[in-house]
Amino acid sequence: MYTKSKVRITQSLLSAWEYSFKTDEGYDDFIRALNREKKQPTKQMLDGIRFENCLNGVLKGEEIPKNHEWYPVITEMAKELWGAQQQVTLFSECEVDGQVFLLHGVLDYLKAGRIWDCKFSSRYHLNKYLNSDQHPMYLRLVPEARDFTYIISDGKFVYRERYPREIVPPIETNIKYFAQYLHQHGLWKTYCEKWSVNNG
Amino acid sequence: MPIVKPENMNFSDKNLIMIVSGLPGTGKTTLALSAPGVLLIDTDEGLARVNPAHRKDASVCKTYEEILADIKAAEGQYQTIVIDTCGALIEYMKDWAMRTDPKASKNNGGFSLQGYGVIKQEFLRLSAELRKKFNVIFLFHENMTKNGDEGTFYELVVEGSTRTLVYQPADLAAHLFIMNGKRYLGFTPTEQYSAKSAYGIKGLMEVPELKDGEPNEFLTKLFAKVRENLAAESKSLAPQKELYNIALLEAKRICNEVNGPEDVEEAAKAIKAMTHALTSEKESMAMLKARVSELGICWDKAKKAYVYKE
Repeated sequence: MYTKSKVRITQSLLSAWEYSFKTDEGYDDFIRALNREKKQPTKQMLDGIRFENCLNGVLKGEEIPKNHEWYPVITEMAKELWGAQQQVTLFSECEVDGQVFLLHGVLDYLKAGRIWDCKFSSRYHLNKYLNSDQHPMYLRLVPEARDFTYIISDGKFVYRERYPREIVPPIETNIKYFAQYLHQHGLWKTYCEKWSVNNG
Repeated sequence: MPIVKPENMNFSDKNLIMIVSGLPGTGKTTLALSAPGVLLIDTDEGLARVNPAHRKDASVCKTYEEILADIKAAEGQYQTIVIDTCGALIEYMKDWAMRTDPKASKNNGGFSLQGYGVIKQEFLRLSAELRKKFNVIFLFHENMTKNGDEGTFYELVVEGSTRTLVYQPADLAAHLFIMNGKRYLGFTPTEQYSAKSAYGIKGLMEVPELKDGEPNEFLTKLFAKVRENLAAESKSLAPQKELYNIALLEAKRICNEVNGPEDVEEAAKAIKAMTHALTSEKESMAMLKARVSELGICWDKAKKAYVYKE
């Protein structure tokens, strides 16, 4: 039923799968993600990249002009994230129902046992990331971390969603359902072809 | 300012901000009055519904300025300020903003979009200011809304765009509800309600029914537990933090000594061999990776060695 070789899995693939149940276009987006097709960045994504670049620049010592539209929020976030390692790439194996998965993630910020992920969201609402796979996945990648915080800005205010390890469910449960879904819908073979560890 | 070592840190005077939300009639005000040394800012006439045996000092105000004045006068006399309800406080703030800030009013007399920005800033300012002198409990009514296929969601009764922001200064937030005749506080967010867990306070906590003559002190005990957990966490983290700081300094030194491809593997070995604490190993390896990239070095699969990028 399963493949002997390891298959890579990321939180964005799991998120794309979960999103496929929520919207009409979600399924097509998931199939594109499963096939590892590059997605055209939306304006929202480009804004997020611009915001993150601005924050990372400040964390590397660049100055942000006081009249910059994001000056108050960037300085507030930079104060908290100062000294953190940025873009930490991690891999870790996990076995679910006899199949070995290679978890792969890139942490935005890691410092002293804590993980942060920066989000730019013009329409943030409370507990937006409650069901995200990102915090269970990243806490699995860093077993020594004690919490995961989404640090979010809409450009005017800074919001935080903090998930202490003790309230986060294990990522293995979702990986199990994901694998079952792929088998039931004839997508397992595609997944193995595209996401095999030997396939980049 | 004197520098305090983690092992000597004392959290006995740390002030907490907590949100308690629930449907009308769940006993939010009575629960809030169980905090230490309470002054109730009664913007919602909640005190009238409390058993007289459990009533505490209260301030009944007509404007936001009066609330601020009463809070100022409470300094040194009370340990906890209860805002009952915070939804009503936001309405007072709206009135204040419209009277004092021209940006807050639209030409037709309505409340402007910029006005919400003004009250959000004011809410954050007030929270920070209150925390310096008091514990703070923000009470919110809830109403039930439909949450897609997932059933009921209990939403705070407060002006829409401020709903997200009011959670930000809070250390803890709990949904108060009654199930099978028992009252519970839910500290872990779920599909049904928002909440905030911290300092080891999580999941469901039963709020025992108050019997006649019994002291109302649930939150006094909870706050003491939070401070105890904080002190224990700080004490257990202190030795790890010390090792972590040493490890990162050492890793920095090792990375700075990497000047070419020939140094990389030795540096990686040296980092692995160090004594690590918290996330120092992963951070040190990330530091090395950054240094390698800065020097234009990469891993050559064929040569199985680090080389300069061509």
